[in-house]
Amino acid sequence: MSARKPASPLDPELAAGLAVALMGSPSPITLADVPGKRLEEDRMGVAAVAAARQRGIRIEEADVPSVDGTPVRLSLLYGPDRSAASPFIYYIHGGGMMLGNRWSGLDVMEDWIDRFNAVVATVEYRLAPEHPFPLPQEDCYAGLVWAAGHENELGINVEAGLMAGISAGAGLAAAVALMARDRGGPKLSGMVLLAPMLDDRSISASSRQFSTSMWSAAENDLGWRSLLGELAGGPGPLPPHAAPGRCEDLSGLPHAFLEAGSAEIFRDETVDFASRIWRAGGRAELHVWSGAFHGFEILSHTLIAQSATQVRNSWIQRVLGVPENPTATWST
Amino acid sequence: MRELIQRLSALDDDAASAMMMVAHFDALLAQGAGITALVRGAAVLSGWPCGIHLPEHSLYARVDAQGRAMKPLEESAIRNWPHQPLIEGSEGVVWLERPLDRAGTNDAMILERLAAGIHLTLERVSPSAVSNDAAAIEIVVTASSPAALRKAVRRLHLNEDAMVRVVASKVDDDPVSRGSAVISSTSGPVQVWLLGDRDSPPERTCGIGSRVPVLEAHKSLRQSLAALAMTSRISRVVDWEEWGALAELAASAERIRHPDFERVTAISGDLAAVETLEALALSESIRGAASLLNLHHSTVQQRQARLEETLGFHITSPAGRTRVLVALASLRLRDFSDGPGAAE
Repeated sequence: MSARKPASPLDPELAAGLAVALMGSPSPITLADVPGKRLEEDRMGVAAVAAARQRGIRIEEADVPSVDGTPVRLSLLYGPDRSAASPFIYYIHGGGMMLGNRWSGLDVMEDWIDRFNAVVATVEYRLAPEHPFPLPQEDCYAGLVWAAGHENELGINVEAGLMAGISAGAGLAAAVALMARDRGGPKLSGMVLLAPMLDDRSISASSRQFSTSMWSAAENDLGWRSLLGELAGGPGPLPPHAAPGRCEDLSGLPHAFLEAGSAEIFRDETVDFASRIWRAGGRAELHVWSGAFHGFEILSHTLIAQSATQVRNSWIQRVLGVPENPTATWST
Repeated sequence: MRELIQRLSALDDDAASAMMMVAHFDALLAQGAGITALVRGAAVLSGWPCGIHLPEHSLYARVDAQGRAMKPLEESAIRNWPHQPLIEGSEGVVWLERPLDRAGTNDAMILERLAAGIHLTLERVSPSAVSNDAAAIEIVVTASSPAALRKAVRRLHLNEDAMVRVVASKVDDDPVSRGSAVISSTSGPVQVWLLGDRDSPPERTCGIGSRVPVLEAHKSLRQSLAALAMTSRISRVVDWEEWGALAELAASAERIRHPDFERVTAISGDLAAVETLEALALSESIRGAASLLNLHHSTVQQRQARLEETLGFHITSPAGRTRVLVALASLRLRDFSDGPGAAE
């Protein structure tokens, strides 16, 4: 017996934490798990909001009409020191298109409020499979359009602001960016795409390489099928913003920050998206973290997750041109 | 990690949470996560800042409960918190910054795991940092490349055709001593020795692998770990070779369905019953068993009667004794994940 295990693709500290992270989670997620997980997420959302309010976060709510007239809830979050110069961040939550709510990732939103005195909007887009394409995309787009159309009332500057999303939310953010470009919609200064879910075809090497941990190939297929139905993974053609990774023309997009782990299924499509932005003459920054799996930031105590957060905040500073709050709770 | 920590602290002061913490340290070690990762692990699990200072290696790390690096402290401040030396006699120290008026039942365990983990990691990353012999022993017992093996054997002043036996014991019995190495195994960290023909085993609970050529010491290690799993309060030293074919039989018991195994498993939670069984199997007489157990012989007689009813055979016949020993050994080996019969 050897004390040395065969080389794992995962960062050692992340691998050790993964067992804890997966405790009590069914793996992989199936359609049957979805209702239970949504209930759990709703509960967690209520608790998270209450705790955030206790910490001094202010929340305003609005209902925004989407493409089919259905009202979509938008929440605006900011800190007590909010000012006219507060940068605007439009946040789209993740959850594989089927899960999550607008409070998922509240800790990241709070960090931006703390660090950049940001005003963060988070949108409660409708979820698949009950609401397939194009509804989630249109809901997210409607929220951004509404925010841009009510800048004075809300006290924000959308064009000077950012869009941000993680996983399915990052895919939706990319879709919204394409929609805004093609429809003459709101311009933004940048978009933060973390572990973006961009391409239903799953043809890249990484899309088939990583069958375990936080988001497997099987779960990804389920997410895309819930969104696109029979079109998922097919020869196409697909409507332009259904799967941003399929879009041939990536010119004219906001400055992009792309992040992925080397051990996640979205690695290759993320690298490809950045490469094609550059080829189209656009601006992008790409970071692929060695040994990181999808959603590794949840193990926020690890050195690699701390570094990823610092690097992302560095880019945000460069794009927004505002300094980080030196007394932010977790400032470096 | 906040949600995860909440889940962890919801398990606070539970045996389950202690086990989970141990498993996390073992995972960090098994993955080779490095020294600061261990300190971060300790801080995150305990919920308090943790630190290490190893002056002889110019190593200092202090992190808060979110795993973020903190400024160094004056050495004297450490005395007010739970702390322990890295190894007996070294200047290295680890500490956990829990305020004295806050209780924490897992803190001692966390500190101990942190210290043991750092020691193991130092041995792994810089063999000359601790003891060259320890590094060489680790290389010899863990099936390294032929070139590394030969170098390590020379380092230990052994001939390549020397015959050795590997001995394994738990680490936490005694401080680390010279002539041994601490390695990680599927059952946690263990301390190992290489015995030559003229060496006797250390005076502690241990498992002894069979006598093999030194270049095949990893086979003996595997057996020594299995033998260690077979030890008990009564059978402190288990020699794999002494068990002969019975050892292989016990190791393969999982594949055999027989009431002996099922019935012994059924009483395995009753420590007194298991010890009585073992004592009766090992002794020539009831008096002998009673002496091993420190009980009156009539008590032992009563227990024997109940056990024989449960097991359905005579324990103290020659065959009965063997059946009991094999069943007990198979019970102890069942939890041992890396069986000696497994192919390399």
